Amino acid sequence: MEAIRPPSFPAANRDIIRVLFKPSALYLASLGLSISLVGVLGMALLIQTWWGMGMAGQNNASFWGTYIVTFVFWVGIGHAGTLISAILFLVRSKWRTGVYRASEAMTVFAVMTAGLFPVLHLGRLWQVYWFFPYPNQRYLWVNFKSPLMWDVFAISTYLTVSTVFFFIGLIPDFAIVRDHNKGLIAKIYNLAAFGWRGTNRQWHHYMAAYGFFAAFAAPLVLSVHSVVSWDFAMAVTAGWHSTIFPPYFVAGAIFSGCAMVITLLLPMSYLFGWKDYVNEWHYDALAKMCLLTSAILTYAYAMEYFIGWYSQNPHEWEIFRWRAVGEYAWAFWLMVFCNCVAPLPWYIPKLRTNPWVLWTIAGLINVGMWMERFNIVVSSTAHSFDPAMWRMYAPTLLEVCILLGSAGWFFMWFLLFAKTMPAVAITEIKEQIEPPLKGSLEAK
Amino acid sequence: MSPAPDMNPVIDAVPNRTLPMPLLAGTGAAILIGIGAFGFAAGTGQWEWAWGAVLVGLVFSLGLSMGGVIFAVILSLSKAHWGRPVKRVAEAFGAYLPVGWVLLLAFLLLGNGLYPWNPETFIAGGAVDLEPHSDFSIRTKPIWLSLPFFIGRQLGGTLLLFGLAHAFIYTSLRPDLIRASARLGDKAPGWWSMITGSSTDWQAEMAKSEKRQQAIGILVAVCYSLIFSMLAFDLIMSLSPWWYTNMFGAWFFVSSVWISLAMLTIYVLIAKEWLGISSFITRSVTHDLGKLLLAFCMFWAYTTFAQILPIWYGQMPEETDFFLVRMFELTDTIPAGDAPWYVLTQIVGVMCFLLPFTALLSRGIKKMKWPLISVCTIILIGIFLERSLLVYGSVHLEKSFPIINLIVIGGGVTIGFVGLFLLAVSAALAAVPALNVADPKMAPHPWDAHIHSLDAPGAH
Repeated sequence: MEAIRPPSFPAANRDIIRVLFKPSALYLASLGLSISLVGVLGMALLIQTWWGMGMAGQNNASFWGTYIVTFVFWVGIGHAGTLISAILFLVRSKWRTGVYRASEAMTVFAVMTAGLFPVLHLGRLWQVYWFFPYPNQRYLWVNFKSPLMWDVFAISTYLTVSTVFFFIGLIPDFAIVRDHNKGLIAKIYNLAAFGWRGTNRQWHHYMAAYGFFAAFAAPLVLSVHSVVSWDFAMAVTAGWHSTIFPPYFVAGAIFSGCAMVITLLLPMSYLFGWKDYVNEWHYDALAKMCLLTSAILTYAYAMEYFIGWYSQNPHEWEIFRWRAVGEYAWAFWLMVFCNCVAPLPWYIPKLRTNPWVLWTIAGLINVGMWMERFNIVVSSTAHSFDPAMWRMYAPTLLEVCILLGSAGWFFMWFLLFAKTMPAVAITEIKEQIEPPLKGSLEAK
Repeated sequence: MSPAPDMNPVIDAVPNRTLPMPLLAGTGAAILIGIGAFGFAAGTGQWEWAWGAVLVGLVFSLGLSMGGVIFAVILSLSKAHWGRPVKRVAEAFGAYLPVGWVLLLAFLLLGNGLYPWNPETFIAGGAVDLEPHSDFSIRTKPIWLSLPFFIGRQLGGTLLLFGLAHAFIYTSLRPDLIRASARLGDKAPGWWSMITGSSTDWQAEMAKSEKRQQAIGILVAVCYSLIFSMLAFDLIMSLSPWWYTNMFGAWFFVSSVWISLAMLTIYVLIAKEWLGISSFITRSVTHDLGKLLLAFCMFWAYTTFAQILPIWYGQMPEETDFFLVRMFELTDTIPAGDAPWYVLTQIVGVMCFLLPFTALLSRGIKKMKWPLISVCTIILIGIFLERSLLVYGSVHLEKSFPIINLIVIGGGVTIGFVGLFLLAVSAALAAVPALNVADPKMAPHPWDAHIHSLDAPGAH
């Protein structure tokens, strides 16, 4: 399998920059649809704020519902970007080059999307600043002992570092875009590139900063979703109080994130004609990453069941039994199918590079990972210790609108990114191709 | 692809390689110390200490052995170039597996009284922590905690895993032996033909071997995670039959790979001249091994913290008791004594995380022979103490910290196991090429060329 195959330095500039700024009809339609969905989200939010939280389907037992399911889902999606850009950079894995920019953008937008949900779930939106500790005359502080507060800090740190890392990587590429444009556009990109000239001194500082941020961001890959998992694991609720949750959530996040990278990049690389930059080599590696994390998830599911049984704790065992055979069994088995069974065809090498198979399985994984969070969040609260408190939960139309609207919000940002920033790292691509030699045609 | 290195000197060294006298004397002495320590504990009637030490030695040495094979599997599955110079040594760690299996059999047949759920347990009073949860746990798990099923699944599971591990090693070894036989001719050891058969085309064999290693490697990795989890749950966790944590299996099998990497680093740094692979064990290789050791160190700390935090936060007695005994000075709570294990817990924290983490942050230490060996030794002792804490903490409530027994019996028996392990590994390495001589990935990857250039004279 070949790695990156761009013909030359000028071709790399041309191919990646030419897709910027000029929207096709398909692009405009996609953007219009995404913005419409954001409008739906806005309307749903307005209705919920006006009429109150009763418009959503939560009840006294299932107090979190799809808002927290979708929150965890989007935080998970935001994981692969930093893994691909920071950890694979540190381990000198070259296949990251073609895909890391889009993955980083996906991370930033996914975390921005996730951030909507605690606010949506708050009901009283205007009190959102209560999430943050701030000095006040009433000496009121947030509850630092609550894992939900740990989440606020973990995710805001992650968003900050991911965004900074994303923009640092873009600096030399912004300069290339600037050099290929004139007038106001060149001025804007010059500002974004911090006046980058590509001198030895600038490259020296740039590489040092990039390595530093990569090392700084790498532990966040583990910490963020571990803290998210503790939202559940710290509670003594059956099915939540589990020590394996942190690594299991991290593996699940990487799994869903890599699947989302395939979902986004596959059509993008075909539409933009980027087969020389993002190709079978990258999809093969992403599919292998999904296979590894799928195996870890399958192991974690199995261990949860085994220890649920081994513990002989009646509450613990009941929730695991009920998940498999109770009213939400469809969600459980859909999760098992999508996360444990559907990726198995990728053990056949040819199927890791077939675009249809790749896109179908990646889509199934996205569904499966949402279902996994549904299983965890909804089933444990709907079927808790006291049978008198058992309440089934189903999302209302308003929640479905908010779920779809969040997807619209995410895709809107991603589409805007694809037309304003180089979605493949031009400078790093050039590091992997032969430099133009003196006297050669390309050098001229 | 960079040019393939010259493998002929590595092949030519095999017929003349014998086990060095210091190694024979050292491992022999270690085995005798192990037998002596077990004999001392048994002779003084301290059966919990005697079999507890055997259990610690077993889980430690089986982890060392299987961890090496898993590292070789990881190199194979990830198609990594950087670690190829140590792949054969990692594979040779598997030579101890048959010996370990026999010792496991002996433990399961003779030392099963260590388990408090066994009606014939030799722990005085049944078990230190039978109340209030264990009775319920034992009653409700009559099949899982029955002796025949317990012994059967350990032996069957390990037989399957070790068999697959040896199939992987065989597959990796075959093309190397074919190439070495072709060069050595009559000088090649006779038993090699049992592996090579009549094949002489080592390049064609290598192409097949790579595919087979990938296929078998996946099976080994899957079985390793499941069967080593079972060993952790059964051999260690069931010593406190009421206690459970679903991370325990993963925690155990990942730290087993970690100690194996530490032992691998020590072994290649000390034995590289004897093995004739000095020119391959470059500073970039030891630097990369050091980085991997650091990553595992952080992962160990992460999983340990992630395991303790929800249990501490949840405050459920059936979960917290296990940690209370090991983490706090419980003079008033436990009538049997002072529960002095918290001292050991603190030592484990320092040796498994603080010291190696701080040391391995340094680039220099990762590249220097003796400092890196020292850090690896600390890791090995740290994990030995961690395993001791898990085992002895469940079967003893001492009135004071049992430092003599821990060193003399616990340390002595584990030294015996490590001696046996080193003897098996060295005997295997003495008989085969110490590198994967037929493997095209022995050549550095072009993308790593600048890293390898750091090893050039005058580069530092």
